[in-house]
Amino acid sequence: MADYPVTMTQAQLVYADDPEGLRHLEEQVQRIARANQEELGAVTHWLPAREISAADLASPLGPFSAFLKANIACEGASTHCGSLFLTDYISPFSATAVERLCAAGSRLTAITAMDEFGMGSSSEFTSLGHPVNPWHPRRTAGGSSGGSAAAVAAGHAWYALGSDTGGSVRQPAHCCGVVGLKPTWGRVSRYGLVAFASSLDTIGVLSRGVEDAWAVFRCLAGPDPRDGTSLGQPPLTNQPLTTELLPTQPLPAAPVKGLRCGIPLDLGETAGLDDLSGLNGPPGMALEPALEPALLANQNRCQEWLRDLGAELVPVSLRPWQKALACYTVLNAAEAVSNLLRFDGSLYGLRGEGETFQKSFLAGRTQGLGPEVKRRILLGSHVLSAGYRDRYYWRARATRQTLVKYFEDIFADVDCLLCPTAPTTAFPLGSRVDDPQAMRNSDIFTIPASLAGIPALTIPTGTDANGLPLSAQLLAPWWAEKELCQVGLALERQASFQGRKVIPWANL
Amino acid sequence: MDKKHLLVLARRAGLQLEEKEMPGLLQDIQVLEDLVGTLELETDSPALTHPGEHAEAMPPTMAPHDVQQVHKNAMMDAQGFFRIPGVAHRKEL
Repeated sequence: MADYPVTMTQAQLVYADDPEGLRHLEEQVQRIARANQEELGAVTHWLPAREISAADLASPLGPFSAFLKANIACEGASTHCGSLFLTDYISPFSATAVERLCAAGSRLTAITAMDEFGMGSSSEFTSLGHPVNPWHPRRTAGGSSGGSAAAVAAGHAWYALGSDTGGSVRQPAHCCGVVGLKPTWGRVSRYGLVAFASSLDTIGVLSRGVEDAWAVFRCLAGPDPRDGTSLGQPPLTNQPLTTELLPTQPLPAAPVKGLRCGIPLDLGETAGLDDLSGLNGPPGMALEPALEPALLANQNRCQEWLRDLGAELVPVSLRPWQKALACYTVLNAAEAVSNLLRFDGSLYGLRGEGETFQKSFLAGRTQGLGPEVKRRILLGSHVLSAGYRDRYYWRARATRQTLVKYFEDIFADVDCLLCPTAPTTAFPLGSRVDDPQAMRNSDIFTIPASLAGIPALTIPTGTDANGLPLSAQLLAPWWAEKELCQVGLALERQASFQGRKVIPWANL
Repeated sequence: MDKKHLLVLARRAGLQLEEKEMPGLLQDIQVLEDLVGTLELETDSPALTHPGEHAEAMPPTMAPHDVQQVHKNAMMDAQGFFRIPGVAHRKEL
């Protein structure tokens, strides 16, 4: 166990009676973050430095520094979305999420690198620089919130906001060994989040502990009149997850004892669970061969931990997940092409040369948008074309409905579902840039929750033989973020991964 | 899908394509077609009861109306999932 505060929650406890000590720690973190950023490449813009005030020290998220993904609007800051098209765009307003963080005392200090408009899984689809994985400099930090995840993992920020459309918070959290929380769609206002695929986009949290993610999330959540899709949500309890125990103290078993936890039936045989014999479906499951052995063993280990904590493991088939990737590919492209039509250069963004609006429009978009964005725009246009709409778009919408029904049936029987976050550990930089399909496959385990709009949590649980992080993903029913985080916290404590972070300020 | 169709799609989506980009994009679309071919319909979902009934009358790419419709579909789908009080389920809409 580390003898220094790794998470915000721990720091608040350690420095409960020493605000000056907390101020000193925060100043050191910021100094080290600025000094080491070039190497990591997680930050694209620094926000103006602000002195730590007494009010900061007394507020729920103060005085901890946080980073912001570049597609979430912050007044006076660059909201470049990783795109050349918006390189010079300075947002004139703040997103609701940013306003709520600031109201809770958060100190936003930097804008992080990302895949252009959130389209990618390695943060390499951008012309503005990409981050590297803090655990291995030649591996990806994941994407599209790779900059946020890398910064949190390296200890340069206590937490960061990201956006999750098909796994863009959870997959980088997995690659960088941090916690990634994707709330229920509609729980956190999307006002000020640059739209990619509106029915999938959610603002999520990356942190070094589940308690931190919960603390930030409960500041963000709640209805917002400026986002109609956030209205009508059930109220969120404003309670901490536990009695805020120190990490060295045992967690009460109550949140997990008696819990019915779904585990993948289709991975069961390989995972070696004796009680699943005879229950496996026919061969041909596409998910299983894609999973690395270390991640399969990790899944098995996490199941054992939950069983040790008193959970009942219930086998659940992931067979319907096979269709999720195709469904997501169609829907996200269709929504992206409609959302990205607003980038015409007339009011903001890159304005191309041309005598007429049409010529300027074509030139600006052609010059300013990257290859992956163009690819998705063309795919989106294609799937919405006459003659192809029935074949692709309507079929994908129908498939999405069957997937939602599938999750409704599952959560009628179990309280949560435990599965891998990604089929591989952090892959080498550049290895999938020219293979869009391989890149999309990185999200095979995260997409189903996005399509259904349910909350999901990625928790780091260990490292493989190469020292790369492993993780588990928990899914819960709509609006059950607290229950999700409680189980996640139990798993985090069991894995005891927090103390194994390699962060530069560990010896302060 | 051929180069001519791709150029029409690109122009209407506000993009100019270079000759060297086209083979890769055509290949991507072929991959998509193969991928989506795996979507088998096992449902009598209302989404399929009136799919694209005006398809023949529509232009080969999205019209402004389609853009609005995509957003409307997306919001109806997503809100319907959650049965938010006060928001009708999409099957009721």
